[in-house]
Amino acid sequence: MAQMRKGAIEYCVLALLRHDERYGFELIRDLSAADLVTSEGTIYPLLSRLRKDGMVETTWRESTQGPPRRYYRLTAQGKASLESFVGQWQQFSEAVDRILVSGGKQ
Amino acid sequence: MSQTGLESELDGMVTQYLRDVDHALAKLNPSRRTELVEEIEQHLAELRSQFPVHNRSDMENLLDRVGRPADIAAAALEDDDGSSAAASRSRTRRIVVVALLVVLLASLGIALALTTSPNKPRSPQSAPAVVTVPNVLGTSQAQAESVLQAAGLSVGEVQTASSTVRQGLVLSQSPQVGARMPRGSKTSLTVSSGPPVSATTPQQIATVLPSGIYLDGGSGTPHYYVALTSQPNGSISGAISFLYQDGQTSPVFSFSGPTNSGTATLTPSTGGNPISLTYSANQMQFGECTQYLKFATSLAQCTFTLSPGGNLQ
Repeated sequence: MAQMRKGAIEYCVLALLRHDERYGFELIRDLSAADLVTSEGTIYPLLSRLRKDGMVETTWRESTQGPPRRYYRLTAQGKASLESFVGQWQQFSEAVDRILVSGGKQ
Repeated sequence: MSQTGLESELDGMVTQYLRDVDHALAKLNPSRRTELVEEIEQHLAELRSQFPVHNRSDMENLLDRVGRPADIAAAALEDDDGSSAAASRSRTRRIVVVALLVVLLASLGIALALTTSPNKPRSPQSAPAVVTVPNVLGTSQAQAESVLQAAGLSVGEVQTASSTVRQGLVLSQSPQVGARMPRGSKTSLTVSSGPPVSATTPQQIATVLPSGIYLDGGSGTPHYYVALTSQPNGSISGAISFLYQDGQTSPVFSFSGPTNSGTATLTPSTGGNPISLTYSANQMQFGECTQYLKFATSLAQCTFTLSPGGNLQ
């Protein structure tokens, strides 16, 4: 379950960036509010990997309060990866739901 | 009194927590380690600004929310491990790739694998790949180049700047002295082009020594200082920008005005919040600038000049 959650969170991050760029704290706050994250600090390594993998790109922006913030933005590659996951996930979750709800009987 | 006592106790909890995170990250590559600790620190600061902490228990809840240092370290090490090529695929695909690699390696022969195992292509940690930047300030350019090369670094861009320091000597170096850099990294130098020719031309009054810019963490608020070569008297103008840890540069802050007020306001080139500057006989102190300077590791640019008509004391 932990592995599944971890795998899915990566795409939730990409999905949160679909329309807007956001900074780390903002992303984690939204994941946390959706009960997807237990240890908020573990998301920063994930963000770093997404950046290294070219799924997101970052820019520093000044903040009206506190230090500058690193904003994350979806790349074309990240967008493609997200779209492909969305398709697969829908099929997968529907299949799982069918089994869970009906025990496989139609 | 008890308020400040509690505040410092809560700050102490944060400091201890960040230290624990840093310790837990010992195996992570050094630049990523520092960056991650700072990200966690900033995250905590943001949490504290949104969820008021009144006592130790509130703080414990907040730290719990960020997570156990060991869990953060586990996530960081796992993600640090993936090679960029394989990691660009999905997690599932990555496992398949690793499995294929294992099969491939096995088919190449166990004997070969054993003899070459210390040089596996995916273990960059095995070579001493990180070196410490030596101090070459005040040396000649040629001397600086040989010292840097001996340390495993190469010389990058060399700029010149007018200074009261003798012509040909190194005024500044970037990254700063003591920084840990990948072997072969470029170090850029600024070399003095000598003192200004005439007192009627603008005179540079600030030395661009990285050692002259430092962080005062004592009060909890970062302050940066730039050493002045002599006390200016007259009208000065200048521009300064900072280099962040990830190599990006801050906006350029510039100002001009008389020195008699002792303070100045530096306006960023990109708009946004100005930072304040106070100067005294031998230094300029940048204040109220945590939002820009917290991540700054060194100066990218620093030129302060005394306008014609002014004099140095």
